[in-house]
Amino acid sequence: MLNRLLLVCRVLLAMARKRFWEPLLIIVAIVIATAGLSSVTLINQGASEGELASSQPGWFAGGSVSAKSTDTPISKADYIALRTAGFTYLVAITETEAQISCPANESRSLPITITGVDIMAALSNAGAFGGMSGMLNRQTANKPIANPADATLASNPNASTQRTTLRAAVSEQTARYLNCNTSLTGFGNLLFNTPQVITGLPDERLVLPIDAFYTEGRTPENYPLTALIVARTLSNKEQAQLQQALPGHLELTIPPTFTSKGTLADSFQLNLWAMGALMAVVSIFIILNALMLMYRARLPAFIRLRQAGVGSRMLLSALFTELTFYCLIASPVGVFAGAALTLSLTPVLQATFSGLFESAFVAPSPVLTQLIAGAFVVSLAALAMFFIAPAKQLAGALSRNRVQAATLPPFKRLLCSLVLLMLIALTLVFASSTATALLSVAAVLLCASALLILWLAPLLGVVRRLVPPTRPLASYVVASAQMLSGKSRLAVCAFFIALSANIGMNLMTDSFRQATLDWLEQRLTAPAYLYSMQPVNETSLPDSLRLLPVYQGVTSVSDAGISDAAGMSDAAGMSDAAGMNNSKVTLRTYPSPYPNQINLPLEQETPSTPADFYTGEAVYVNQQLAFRLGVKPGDHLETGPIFTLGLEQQLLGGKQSFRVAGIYPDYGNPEMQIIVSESLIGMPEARRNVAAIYPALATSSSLAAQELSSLQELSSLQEKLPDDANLISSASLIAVSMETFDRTFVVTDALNIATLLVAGLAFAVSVTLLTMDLKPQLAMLRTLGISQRSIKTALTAQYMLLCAATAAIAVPFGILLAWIFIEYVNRFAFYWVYPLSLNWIVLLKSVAVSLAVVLVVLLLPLGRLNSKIDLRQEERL
Amino acid sequence: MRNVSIIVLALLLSVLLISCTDPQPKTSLFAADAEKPVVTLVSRDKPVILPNDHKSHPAFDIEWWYLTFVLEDAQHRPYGLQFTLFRFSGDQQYVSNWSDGQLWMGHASLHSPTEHFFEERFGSGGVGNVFVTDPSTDTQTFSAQIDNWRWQSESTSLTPSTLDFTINDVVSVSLQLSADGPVIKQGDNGYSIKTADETYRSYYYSQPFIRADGKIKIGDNTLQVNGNGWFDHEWTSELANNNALGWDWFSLHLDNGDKLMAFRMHVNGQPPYVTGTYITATGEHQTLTDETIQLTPIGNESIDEHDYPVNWRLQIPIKSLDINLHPFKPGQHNNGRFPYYEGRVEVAGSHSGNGFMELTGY
Repeated sequence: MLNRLLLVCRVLLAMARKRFWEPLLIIVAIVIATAGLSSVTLINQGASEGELASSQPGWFAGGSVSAKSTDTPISKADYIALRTAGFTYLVAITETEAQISCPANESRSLPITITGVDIMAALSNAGAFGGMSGMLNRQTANKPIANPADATLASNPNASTQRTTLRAAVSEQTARYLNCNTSLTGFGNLLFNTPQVITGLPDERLVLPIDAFYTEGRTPENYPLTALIVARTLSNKEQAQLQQALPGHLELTIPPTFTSKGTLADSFQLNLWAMGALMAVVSIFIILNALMLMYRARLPAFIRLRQAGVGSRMLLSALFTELTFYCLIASPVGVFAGAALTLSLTPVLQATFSGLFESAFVAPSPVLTQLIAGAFVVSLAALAMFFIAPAKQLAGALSRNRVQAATLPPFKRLLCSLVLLMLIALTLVFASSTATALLSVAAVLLCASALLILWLAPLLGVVRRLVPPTRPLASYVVASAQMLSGKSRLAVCAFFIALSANIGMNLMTDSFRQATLDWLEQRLTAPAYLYSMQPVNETSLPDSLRLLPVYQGVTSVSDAGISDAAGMSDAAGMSDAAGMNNSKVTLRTYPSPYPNQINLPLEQETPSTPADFYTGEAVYVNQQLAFRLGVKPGDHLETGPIFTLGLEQQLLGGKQSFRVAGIYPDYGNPEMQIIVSESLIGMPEARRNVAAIYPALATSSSLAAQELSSLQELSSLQEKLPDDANLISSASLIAVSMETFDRTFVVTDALNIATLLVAGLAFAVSVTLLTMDLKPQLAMLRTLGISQRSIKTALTAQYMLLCAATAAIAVPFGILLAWIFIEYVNRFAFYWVYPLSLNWIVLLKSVAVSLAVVLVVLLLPLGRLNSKIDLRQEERL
Repeated sequence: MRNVSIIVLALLLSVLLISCTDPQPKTSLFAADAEKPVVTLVSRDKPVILPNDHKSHPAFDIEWWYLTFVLEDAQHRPYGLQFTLFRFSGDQQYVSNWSDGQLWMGHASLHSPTEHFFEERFGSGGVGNVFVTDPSTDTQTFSAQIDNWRWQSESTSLTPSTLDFTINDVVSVSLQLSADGPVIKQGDNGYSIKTADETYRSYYYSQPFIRADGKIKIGDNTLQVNGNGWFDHEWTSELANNNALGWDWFSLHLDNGDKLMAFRMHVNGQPPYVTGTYITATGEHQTLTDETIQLTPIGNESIDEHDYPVNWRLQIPIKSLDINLHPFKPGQHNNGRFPYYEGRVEVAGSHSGNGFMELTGY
């Protein structure tokens, strides 16, 4: 028994050595699959952790207590009275404005809000203040108390003139704004260490312990508490209790509790998994193909082994052991490659997540042993599953001769094709979510592969008939390609899937890029925009320019608040998520100096005068809102009270009702948005740090864009503006946005190209291996006087013909995939759609790149094959 | 010995407030304080003076007021209750017009036979919501408070007094406290040594004769409870040391009316040192040293990856006392920012009774 097992193993080893391409192909496919699996796992882990970190409730999410009037602010006694009465979820904050300087860059002085927080009270409350514990780090002074005698030093303010160094905290965005790697100065005599970045802190604030805030003459009397933050969500009963306990000069503001339904990061993860699944499918095809080829080549040896008394079960066990061995070799390599890929992509992902998704990406810390074990188990399980088919075929081949299956008659082929096309149509009809949309993508790929198997050989048959009999070599090339197409169909399918996906992704990206560019050009109507941490006074601008601030707010909307023009509730059905309650919606003003013109790039609109918009009766909603809530132009939309973006303050109480005048695309925005009139939220509290700059004299937006003289004036204006103000022309903004856009697709592009490369490699190798079977025919051609160069050319032409035929079928399916990506996957995952633009250059480039990849990977085996032919021919001669 | 307190406070002092939940080997609790200057030292020449020393002592690094209760409800079901205020010097290097630089923490814990409730709170000294009064100067009454957790005496003495606090808005406790015995100054007039060479020492006194009566409300269920209480007040700067690893502390109410405090200190590189005080029902007390008391762990319990020695044998030959201590229920673990064991124990052997056990540094 043992001897027989040893014999089988030795035979398998010898065969693997002799035809190492097939085992190598399997190993490479496993490496690629496990690398894809690992990188997708790690990237999604980073996205999830980032999402978790970013999803901390904002400071003001639970509400806040504030003074009704600045004449009677919140006192320390008010705070103590409330805490000792049991309202221990209240956390005091105080704020003031300051100009902060970075000693490393003395010329730069930045305005910022200094916020003192009762850190100890915050520690008792997780939730909104979950990340604050780090703030308790001991403060360090330049001169520490050295002995008990010096213990009085701290109580004597005149005892030391040393500057006290404090640890402060900022949000990630504010850290980027400060851009300072040394201590910060500018708040009295205090010196701040490089601020610690804490996720969840409100932006535009430098946060420090309230004890440190109240130093150097600042007291709760001359710098009163600005708010008592409610650190957790209160029940209605608790709200009532607090309201009752508040002294008359204080009021409680409770913002709406937003429910969220998915995020852009979720969709990103889903797409990434889909991409990973595509890689896995391609890998499976490659492995399956390699197994078929390998076992076919080994069949004679297996028959001899069976004749030598080796049982069929033992043979199959030995073969599976061999696969397990390959898996053991390949899994760690794949995991290392995946981890390396993820880590190298981390900076790009971090930039993309913070810039585009307004979320964080946490650099993953791979636990390699866990990843390797997982990758090994998954790949071995997949191998075991896909080992069944080749093993069954092998077991059958060992006991009987295989009869070549006849090709399908044209009628049956046509019928099968129709069924497959109907299947595709059905999956599209029933696609109603991101998951089902991705399922339809899978259905398209698989059905198209089946169609490819059905039609590739007949297509090549047509080509063969077109070749004149006077060209025997050409006839041979086409006939041989036709024959190979049947034997290598699994490899062809892998290549086809990768190529179709590549074409689809490229077309989709190109369409998205074009749509984004058009949208930006339409949306950025002002010649320039001014970004600053603090509102810029219009008086600092020359008379020839006008500054129009952007105002923003936030509110809640429910699908129950949608009604059509006749006043009928629309809650029943049009929305993606019937029953959505208290969904967060941002409001934004449209800064335009021309009351009669609204240049929003509207997808749908109702006949409505701009006057309706400017009076606040009509609003425009973005696609995200329209898709999610089933809003149509003409519908009426009811929202809750309107708050400032950070929920610090209520801008408008009570319910608001608007008529939807139109729907605009809003690419890249994960949130639902409404553009409202400035008359509604144009209050100082709602003013954002961006403003549109227009030439004062232009009478329309088109003229404004042409006011080149004003733009020239803009360049000189930058010098007069405060340090924190940046004047950016619309052209620059568009350029930066498009750079961000291109960065976003780096990851999917990388995975796509990798998949294509592997599929191309597998295809080329399979075809080359099959060509080895043609050695006698090639030798015959050589003896007939065909030159070596001609044979080489013929072989290359044969491979490329197969590729070209595959590509010809892949192109229409690639276009179909692009359409599905845009109209279904994007629609459900991101809630926006855009027109599919068929750019022939992109199409041709995708096909050309794929063919070039195959051609390049063919060069090595081709050269090897030719030399062998020559040697054999010489022997025979 | 408010062991917990030291650990917790010292850990707070160290910069570790952020993440100390990982299981740790028995290493120094005070590593980050290696360079922290000692502000005021515990001295045998300055004994504890009561009631003045009920107050806070900010010149010392760490301090705690620690109440534990072994209670029963009307159905004789046992409960373990804890209320603690910790103070530590915040090492604040600037003069603040908001606080006095002292950092405070409150712990409240209730163990019923089947449930555990725990809450911790933090506050800054000098603000007004966290304090312990100075009976000699402030209000002529003793009071210890953090937010709405309040221990309020009617006079400068610890009792009679009322104790009111809540735990996570689920439990509310309201107890009337009285005492049927004297306050005991541990060690030499309150000068309490923790190791033979007296490097580790503290000011320490106890009130082991507290009687508690009142109500505990758990959810909507109100229970009438009564039982024994034990109060410790301790302050020191010497325990904020790199080599102080932790300790095991016991306060026992024996059924014959006697009380017993036992303390085992763990110092890096030294064998554990045991001290204690035996207090008779009439308030006479005798300090026990390493030679007169033996404290031996005999069984462990693993909780959240911490391996605690929860079963003990305690022997005091000169008192003919040989008892075993075991928890009244498993899992008596305060899982705050700095986890430690604090729970009710039952006494069996030559004597019977109950009490509290605290295990830190595990």
